[in-house]
Amino acid sequence: MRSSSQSLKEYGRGIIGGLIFSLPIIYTMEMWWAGFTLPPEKLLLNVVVTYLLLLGYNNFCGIHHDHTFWDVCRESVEEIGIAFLATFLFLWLIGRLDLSMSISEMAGKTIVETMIVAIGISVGTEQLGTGGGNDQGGSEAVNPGKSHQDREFITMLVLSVCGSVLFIAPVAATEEILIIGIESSNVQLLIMVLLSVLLAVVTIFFSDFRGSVDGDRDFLKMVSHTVTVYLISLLVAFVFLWFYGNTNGFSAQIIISQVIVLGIPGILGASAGRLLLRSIK
Amino acid sequence: MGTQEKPSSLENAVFYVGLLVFMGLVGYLVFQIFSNDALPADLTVHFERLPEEECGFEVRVFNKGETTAEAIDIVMDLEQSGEKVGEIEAQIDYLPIQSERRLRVKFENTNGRCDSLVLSSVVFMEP
Repeated sequence: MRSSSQSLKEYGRGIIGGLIFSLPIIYTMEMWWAGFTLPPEKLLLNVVVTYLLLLGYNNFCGIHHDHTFWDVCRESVEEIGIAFLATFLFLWLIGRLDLSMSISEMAGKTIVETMIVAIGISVGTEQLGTGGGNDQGGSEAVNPGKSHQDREFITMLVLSVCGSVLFIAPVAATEEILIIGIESSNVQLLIMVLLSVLLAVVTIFFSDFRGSVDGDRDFLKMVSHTVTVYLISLLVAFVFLWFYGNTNGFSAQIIISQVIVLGIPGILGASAGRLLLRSIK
Repeated sequence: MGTQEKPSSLENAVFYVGLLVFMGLVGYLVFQIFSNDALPADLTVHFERLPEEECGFEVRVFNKGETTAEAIDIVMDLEQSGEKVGEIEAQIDYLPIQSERRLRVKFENTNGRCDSLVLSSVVFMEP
């Protein structure tokens, strides 16, 4: 049986990790506003998608090899609970919540921010500790029949999505993305796309970051890997823009511009962030 | 969070609290989805004279609707015996559902001619 002090250390590590990744969001005005302007359907979707992401991260990237699916579910529930309480306390501390507010305002503000904090807590718990194992065995017990390559690919997808979410979330709700999207010329947007792809290629194949591809630089593999990562970051960018209502009432051109602008932090998260999430252990 | 060994009593406690929070959030949001008719924002504005100011008022804006009001612009006229003697405009970024914001307005150089404050217009956007 684990001791309470061991558990306490893990929770402390998780909360610190959560704050490292999500403090910019807690301090962002547009995020407070999103809490009471978003309809409950979107907030519920936010909770469900975050829970699925936590399941994915804890399953494929968790430090424990012999976990069961129930352990992963339990771990994810704990992280959402801790994140909710930590977010509520932090928002109250900075004066963004007080008991004179309506329940819907308080709940909305807390729910929107809680979900990113929960992912931060999950990453912090697994990565800031010293007792981690390797990153290969996470899903063995759950999916014993899966091939190593399949598992690696799914792990890459899950980590890329988590990395993109952590990097896109702090800026997606802000008006700056819309302003940059509207004011950028087509040439600038094209350069942004090329820069995004270049960043991914350099980060994954030529950076010598821990966890980056070393030696195996097959051209086709490089192209398919980069395209996959960029597609993930664009998709995450679009989902966040839709979630915060920044696609409503805008032309397709402006939406595409915003997606490209958000794609830069997205691809950094999906490539460098992904390596960071995985390689610290 | 720790999963390799049997969970400690603290982990069990955290899990049950987490489960309560998680189920509470989902339950609350499902309730909101089915109980909310998405009626538009419905703003009411109340004025109250500030006893400590000659021509000062407290303005309370309340949203009774089921949608948040955005970029609210309130124009108020200061009157003396039904005659307009001044005008003031106030902006509020957002007013969430069932929420209230309080403003304090003060008119200068009115020579005490300020027996009432009258709402002239309220304009807001739906987010």
